[in-house]
Amino acid sequence: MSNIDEQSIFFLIGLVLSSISTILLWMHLPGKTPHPRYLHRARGLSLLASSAALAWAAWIPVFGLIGAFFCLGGWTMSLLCLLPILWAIITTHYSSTLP
Amino acid sequence: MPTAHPLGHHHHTLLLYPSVKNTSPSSFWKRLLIGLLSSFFIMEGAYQTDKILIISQTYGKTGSSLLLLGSCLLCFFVLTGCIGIGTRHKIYQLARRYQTLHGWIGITTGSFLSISFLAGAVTLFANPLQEWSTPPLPPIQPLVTLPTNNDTNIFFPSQLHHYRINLTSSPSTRFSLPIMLRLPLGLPSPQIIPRYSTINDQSVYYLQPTTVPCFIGGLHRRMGLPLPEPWVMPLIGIICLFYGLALLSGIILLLPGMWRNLMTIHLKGHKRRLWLDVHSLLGLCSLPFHLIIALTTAMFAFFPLIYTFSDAKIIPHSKHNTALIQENIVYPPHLISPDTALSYLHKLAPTFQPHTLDYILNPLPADTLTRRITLRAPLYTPNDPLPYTKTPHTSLIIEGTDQHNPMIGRDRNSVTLNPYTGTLIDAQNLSSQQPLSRRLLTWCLALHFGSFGGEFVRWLYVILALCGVAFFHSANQLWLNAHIYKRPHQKTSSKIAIPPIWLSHLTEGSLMGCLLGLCSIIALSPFTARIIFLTDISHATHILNTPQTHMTQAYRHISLVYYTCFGLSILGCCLLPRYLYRIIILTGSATALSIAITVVMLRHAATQNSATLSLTSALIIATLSLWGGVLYLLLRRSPPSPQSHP
Repeated sequence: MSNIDEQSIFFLIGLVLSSISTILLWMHLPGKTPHPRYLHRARGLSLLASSAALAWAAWIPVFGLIGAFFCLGGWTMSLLCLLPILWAIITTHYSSTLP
Repeated sequence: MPTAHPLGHHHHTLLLYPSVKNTSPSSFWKRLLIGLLSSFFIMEGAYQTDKILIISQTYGKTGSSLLLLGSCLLCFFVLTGCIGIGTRHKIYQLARRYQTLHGWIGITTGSFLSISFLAGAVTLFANPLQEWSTPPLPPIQPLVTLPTNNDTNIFFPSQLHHYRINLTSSPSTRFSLPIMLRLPLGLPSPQIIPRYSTINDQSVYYLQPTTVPCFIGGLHRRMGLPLPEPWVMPLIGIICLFYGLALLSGIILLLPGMWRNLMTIHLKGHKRRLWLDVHSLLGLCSLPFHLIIALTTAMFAFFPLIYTFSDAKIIPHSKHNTALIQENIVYPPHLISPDTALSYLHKLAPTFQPHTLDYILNPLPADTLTRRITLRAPLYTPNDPLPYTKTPHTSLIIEGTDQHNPMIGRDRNSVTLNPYTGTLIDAQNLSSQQPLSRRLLTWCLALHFGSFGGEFVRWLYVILALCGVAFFHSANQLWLNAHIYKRPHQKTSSKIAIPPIWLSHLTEGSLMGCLLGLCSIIALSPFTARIIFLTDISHATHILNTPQTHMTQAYRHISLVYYTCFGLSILGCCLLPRYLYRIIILTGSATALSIAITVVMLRHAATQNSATLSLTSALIIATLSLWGGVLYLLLRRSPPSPQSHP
C-alpha cells in the first residue's frame, strides 16, 4: 500500500469519526436537537470524547499533531454551523407535511 | 412558556427591541472614549516596549509581530471591559449595556466585513485561479540542462537572469524566465517561456498572467474599499478592534439565554426571530475562527504603522556596500541542477513539497535577499546580525507546500539555497526548521490564511468564510428589522424610518454588488491572460521594457469592471423592486460563472491539475447554487411587494 493510499484511509477514518463526535456534541447541546432515548448522557459524552480523540489520532499522520487538532476544530465548527440549519429545514418540512 | 427563565426572556426582549436603553448616552460615549484611548496607549506601549527591549533587532519581525498580536488581544478585552465596568452585577443588566453598541458596530462594519469574507473565500483559490485562467501552452520540449550565464548573456536581454522551474505544470516541468521579480500592487510578473528544442532556438512564448487573483486579494485586504492599501490600513485596524469588541460583547449578550436556545433555528414565525437564531448560531459556533481573523487582521493593519519606525534599523540599505559587493561577485559557470537541489531539500524537510524553483542570478542593487524574503513573507525578515541580509545575492528560492506544517500564506513555504554550491542560505520560511517563537507566529498566520492541512482546510475555510458572510448579513438584517418597523412603544405616525431604508439598500446592494463583481471578473479572467508566440526574443523588446505598464493597465480594467458592477448593484437596489433586483443580480452572477466555466473547459484548462480541478468544482457548486437561488425566487408563488423588506 502506497503512502498516499494510507494517508487517504487515515483521512477518511478521521473524517467519519470527527463527524460522529460532532453529531454527538450537537445532540448534547441545548436547543431543538434530536435526543434519542437510548443514548444516555454519560454514555453519549464518553462516546463523544473517544470518537474525537480517535479522529485526532487518525488525522495526526495526515496533518501533523497540531494541524490535526485545528482540522478537527475547523470541521467541528463547520458542522455545528450547518447541522442546526439542516435539522430545522428537515423538521419544519416534516411538520408541515404530516397530517 | 410557563417554565421560561426570566433572564432568557429578558435577553430576547433586548435583542428584538434594541432601542431599550439602560445607560445614558453621555456615559456610554465616555466609556467608549476611555476604551479607545486605552487601546491607543496599549499600542503605544507595545511600540515603546519594542524600542526599549530592542525586540525587533533581537528577534526580527517575529518578535514585533507576536508583541503586537498580544497587544491587539489586550485591546479587545480592555475595550470590551471599559464598556461593561460599573456597579451592576447581574448578567442581563450587563448585557443591556452592550446591546446598542453591538448593533451599531454590526450595521457600520458588517458590510465591509461581509465583502472581505466573500472575497476571502475566493482568495483561497488565488493560485489555482491563476493557472485556471491561463490557456494551456502548446507542447514544449522538456528541459535538459539549465542555461549558463554565458548562454543567457548572448541570447536573452540582461533583465532575464531569473529562471523559474515550475514543477506542477503537466505533463513536464515548465522552464520560464520571469521578467521581473514582483511588480507593484503584488502583480504577478509576465514570463518568457522558451521552446527550447535547442539552446540556439530563439522562439519563445510571452505569457502575461491575469491580474484577477491579485485584484481579489487586494479587495479582501481593503475590505472592498477603492482606496490605496496604506490609506485603508489604519481604518481596517479600527474596524477590527470594533469587530473584536462586537464578538466579545456578543458572547455577553448571549449569556442570559444561551443554554436554552443555542441550537434552535425558528424557520416559521417572524423573520426577526430567524435572523437572530442564525446570527447567534453562526457567531457562537464559529467564534474561535472569527476571533483569530479579527486578531490577525488587526495585527496586519497596525503592523505597518509601528514597523515603519523600526524598519530602517533592521534593514540598513547602503548603496555603497551594494555596489562594491556587486563588482566583486564572480559567478561560477554552472548552476546546481534541480534534482540536486530537490534531493538536498528532501533530506532537510521530508514533508515539504516544492512546486517552484527560482534561480535568481542577476540581483539588482535594490534586490537584496531581505527584500525577496519580505516579498514572499510580509512579516518575516532575517535578524540583523546576519551579514548576507544587506547584500544583493544570487539565490535559488524554492517554494512549495507542506501538509504537515503551517505556512505563512497559501503555497508560501520557501527555502533559499546558493544556486551554485547548493548550500543553505535561509530556511526561516520553512516551518519545519523554525524556532518556537517563529513557529507560533506562523501558526497564527496559517490560521488566518487557512494555509495548513492542504485541500481539506481550503474547503473548510470556504465553508467558514461563507458562514461568516451569512453571520454579518444576518447581523445587518437583524438591526434593520429592529429599526425599520415601528416598534411597539414608539408613538410616531410614520411606519418606516428613512435612514434604515437607505442602509437596507446599501447593505444588500453592496453584498450583492460584491457577488456580481466577483463573478464578472472571474468570467473575464480567462480572457485577460495571454500567450503570444514570438519567433525571436529580440522582437519583444518593447514588451520586456514595459511589463509594469501592461500589468497595471490590466489591473485598472479589472478594477473598473468590478466597481461598475458594484455601483450598478447599489443603484439597482435603490431603484428596482427587491424581488426583481435579486433575480437580476443572481442571474447575472450565475451567467458570468457559467460562461467562465464553459470557456475554461473548452480550453481544457479546467482539470489540468488537482488545484484547478478543485477550483472548477467550487465554481460549479457556486453556479448551481446561484441558479438554484434564481429558480427559488421564480417559483415563489407571490413575489413580495416593493414595500416589503428583509
